[in-house]
Amino acid sequence: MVNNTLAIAARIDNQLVGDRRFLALAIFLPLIIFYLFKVFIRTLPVALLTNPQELYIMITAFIIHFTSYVLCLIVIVRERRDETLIRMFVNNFSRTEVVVGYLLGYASLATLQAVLIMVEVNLLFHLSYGFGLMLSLFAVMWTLSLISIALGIMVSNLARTEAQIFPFIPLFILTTIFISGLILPLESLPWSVRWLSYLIPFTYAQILIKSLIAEAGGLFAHLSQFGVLILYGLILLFLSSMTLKQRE
Amino acid sequence: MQPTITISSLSKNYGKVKALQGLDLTIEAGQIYGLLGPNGSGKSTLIKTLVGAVKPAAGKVLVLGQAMPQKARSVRSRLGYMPQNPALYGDISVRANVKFFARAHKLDRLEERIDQVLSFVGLSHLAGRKTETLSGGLKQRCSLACALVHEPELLLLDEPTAGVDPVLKEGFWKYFHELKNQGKTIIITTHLMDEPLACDRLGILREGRLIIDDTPESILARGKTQVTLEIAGESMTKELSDYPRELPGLLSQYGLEPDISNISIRQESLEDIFLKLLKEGLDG
Repeated sequence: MVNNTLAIAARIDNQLVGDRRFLALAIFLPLIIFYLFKVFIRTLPVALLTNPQELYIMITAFIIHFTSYVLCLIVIVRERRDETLIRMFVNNFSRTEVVVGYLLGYASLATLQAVLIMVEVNLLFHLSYGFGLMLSLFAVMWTLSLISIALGIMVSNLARTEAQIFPFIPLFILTTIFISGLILPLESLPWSVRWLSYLIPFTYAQILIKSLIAEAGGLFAHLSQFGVLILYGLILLFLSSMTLKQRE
Repeated sequence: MQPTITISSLSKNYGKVKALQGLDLTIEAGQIYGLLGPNGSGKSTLIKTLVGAVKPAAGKVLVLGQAMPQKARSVRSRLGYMPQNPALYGDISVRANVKFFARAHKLDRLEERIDQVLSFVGLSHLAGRKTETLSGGLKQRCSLACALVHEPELLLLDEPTAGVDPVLKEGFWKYFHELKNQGKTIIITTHLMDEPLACDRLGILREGRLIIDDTPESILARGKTQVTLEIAGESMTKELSDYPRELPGLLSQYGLEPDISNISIRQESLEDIFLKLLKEGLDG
């Protein structure tokens, strides 16, 4: 199993290195988006920002979440269209190997994205957080980026054509903005909508990020919340594996 | 000897479309078996069923003695599959593609085996090239290398020569016969009418049913020969089932009549017979 998973991951990394245009877009576009965010923030009256540093970190997490999610959105659809997916199965790659192989393959790029955005947020906003807190925040964002990849793979599994992927992009952005607690506190949402918040990975990430920033102690003091985020990721991986159709 | 493929009462539907309808077929080992049929006749669905990528609605499929798709994982290491599309990763090299699919089979001396298979399909000199830069025919060769790399005993090739030029096509058939000589069983789909003659046996599919399962020679023998005589400026056409034997009898009616100025003979090709068989079924 490990051999096959690593073969898929290595092949994906080989493909990413070969596609320099995609690589450049995947790395630099999030940085440009974040710079535009800084320009936007600077135009706002200072009084509107009650906790600006927390907002910067939340937007950083959101950008990492979104860019990692879109990385994998069309990969499975493309593999199915080109019949490479069926060829993988006929060559005895299993569903779990395909999903985990994709996760590992894109993890390197997602990690690079996360590191660069974290560096950028520090350079642009001169955050006053200590090294320990920044490391904890990075661990959360890195985990979130892996979860985002798994989510992208699952959505890609469910779509039959590339066109069917597009509605999932605004759905992802708008639900995350409106009901994950990114802008409005979860407590202010009516229960008729609030239960939906707990289906969204960003909800768990933002709860953890806010706790980390509000209370000292780093990630070890919030292991249960971190555990929930990891558990969410594992469930998502399991569902991604189960929804990957092997047969027509 | 156990047949390589045994299919009984196989059916598969896609919604309201009946892709395969109660199909029965047995394919013996060491043959090149050609599956012939128009678009939508069920050739690709049948091949995909044999590799375990399609779940039958009804019926039983045994591949190398194992039930498909239930025992797919144990059988797949013994079969090679070449889909209709090249099914390659365009942004990596020819060698990387072959290596990727080969790695799942845990081969001993992997690199050596990749060298052998690339040499076999004549792609050694292009091993480092990205597959997206290759022509259609070269991509097909790379796809064939991916199907052959683990030396499977059964090869399932879905229209491997579609879009391939005649020279390359001839080369492909040379490979297939070499593989057959090595004892492998090859099942090949095609809608080209010159290729089936190179098969040991042919199955003709129409609307998901197998309407013929015979040797190319026997199928050709079903064709008739048209004999047209021009006598004193008038022409007369006769159809003969077995012209070498029937022609002398026909001509003896005319003795050595000096007015017979020309005899033209047109024998039905495999394509004629194929189209007639399809039409007969539709009319009937």
